[in-house]
Amino acid sequence: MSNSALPNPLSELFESREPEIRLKRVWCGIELRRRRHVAAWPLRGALAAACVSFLLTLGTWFLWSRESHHAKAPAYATVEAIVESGKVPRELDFGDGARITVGPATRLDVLEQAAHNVTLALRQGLAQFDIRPGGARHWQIESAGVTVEVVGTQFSVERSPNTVRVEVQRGRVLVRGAAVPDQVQALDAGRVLIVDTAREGQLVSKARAEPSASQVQPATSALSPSRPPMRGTASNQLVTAQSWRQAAFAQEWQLAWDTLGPDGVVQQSRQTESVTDLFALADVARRSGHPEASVGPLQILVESHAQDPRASVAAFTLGRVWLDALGRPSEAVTAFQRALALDLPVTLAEDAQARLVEALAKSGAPAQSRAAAELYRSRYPNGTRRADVDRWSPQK
Amino acid sequence: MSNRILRPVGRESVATQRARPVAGEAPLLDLDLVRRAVKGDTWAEEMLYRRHAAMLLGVCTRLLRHRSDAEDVVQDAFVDALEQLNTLRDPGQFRSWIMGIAVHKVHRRLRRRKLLRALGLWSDRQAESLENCLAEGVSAEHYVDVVCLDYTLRQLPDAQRIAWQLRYAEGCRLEEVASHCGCSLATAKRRIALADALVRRHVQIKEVGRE
Repeated sequence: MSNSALPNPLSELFESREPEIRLKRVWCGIELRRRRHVAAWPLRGALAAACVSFLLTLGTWFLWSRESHHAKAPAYATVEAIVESGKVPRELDFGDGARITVGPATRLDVLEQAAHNVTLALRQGLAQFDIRPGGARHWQIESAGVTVEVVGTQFSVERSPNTVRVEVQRGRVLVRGAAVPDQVQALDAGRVLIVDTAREGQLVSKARAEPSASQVQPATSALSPSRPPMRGTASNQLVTAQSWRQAAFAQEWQLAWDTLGPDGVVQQSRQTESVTDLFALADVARRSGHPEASVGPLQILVESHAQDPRASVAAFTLGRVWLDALGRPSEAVTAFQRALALDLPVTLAEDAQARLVEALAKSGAPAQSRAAAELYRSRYPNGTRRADVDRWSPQK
Repeated sequence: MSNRILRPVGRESVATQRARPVAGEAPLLDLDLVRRAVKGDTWAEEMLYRRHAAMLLGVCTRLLRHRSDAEDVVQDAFVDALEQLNTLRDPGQFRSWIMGIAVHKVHRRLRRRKLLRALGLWSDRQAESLENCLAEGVSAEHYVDVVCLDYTLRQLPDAQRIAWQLRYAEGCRLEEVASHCGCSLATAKRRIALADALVRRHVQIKEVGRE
């Protein structure tokens, strides 16, 4: 610290004059900025006017759209908050083309029915939904922690004590829930999802990517009163139609057979056009110890769905039923020949050829059996069924 | 205006020449110049600038320690002041008013500098020293004291440093310091006291006219 104190204020120590060039530079900047500022005003005004007009347009459009939506809202029919059906199925009309058929002993709560959303809760039973595609409303069905979201489609939801079953006949739905595999599944037409709500995260049955009967018959559903009766009352038909499938999915064959009854398989196979259902009916009959009853659905499958890639498998199964279970080799020959003609998968084709040799031998056609055996040997020189073929048609 | 911009460097502007009081005639006050500038007199605007620009450039350079930044701040301050001249309630207080605007912009500039420093875009080494602002002919003792003062002021937070500099370096009254810093009188006093306690450990400053 020096001995002489600094003056107060210190400004007298500092240079008070500034070079003219510095003053001019700053003044030029000031003038330039002020001119820009003035020139920018009309532009800013125009911009502000454009913004105001845009906001006004936006506001007007918003108000108009709200009013139009409010005006549209009363066009939708209002359904009571809680829909409970008795023994007879009941049909609900929501006024926007959506039709819901509530099955017997079903409770459906209408949680929300607004201009853009409809939320329903299926408390128990079965409901069939037919929602017009491209509609203005977003539909959501809640059932035991499972949420089905849909825009336009035809599907059914069934709630049992421990499961929720969703089957899509047309369109596509989104199923969400803690018990749904991966929390969310998209179901296309013909797919069925059964969610075990009792065991969280477990799936009773895998979704089956096969076309269902309703895909062919969109207007007809399991709940439709116009559907020809299967047996008994309409309510019984409904319960039976749904529960045998459930038992079949769970591989409870005897239970499924009992549910269908003695004529159930025959009747169901006449009514359904779903390949899935026909296969399931044949399986129920075969595996519950009624092979003769499996012939009906398998024959329908082979005759009426010959274009389906699974028709060849059905023909092969039919051949096995004729040959092994019913002891009718002549019919078995026809079935195996049909299976081979329908382009059977390679893994089954060898077996089918070997069984054809056996069926021909058993039906009293040794020459044809030998020819079939030769064909087998030429196609499968190291075949796994070679011993059987040689037994039924010894090589010379 | 444009011919003034292109005027050769080193000559006095027309405004300066005209503002020089004629013998026997009283010089124009800020009050008159502000009134004329409000009515759109561009000469009065330039005159106001010529009268206060050097002072403002000096203050801002000492506060910011950066000549280019100081020029930007003075430019901004004058643009704002001339645009809002009609809002000045007491035209006679133009000097204090525009200084308040400039100090406010210095605060903003220092805040931005903090951000730039955090981003690595500003280094304190870019700041100039106070001794660069000294006038010619300053004694060696004062030069040494100013170097010492500069070092001390660098240790202070911006708010305390600005308040102290306005008070002791620029000779502002306490009310003006509070007004320019946008704080209460008590806060201004506290900031100055805190800074003063540190400064007086290193340099001695004359005690005159304490309020």
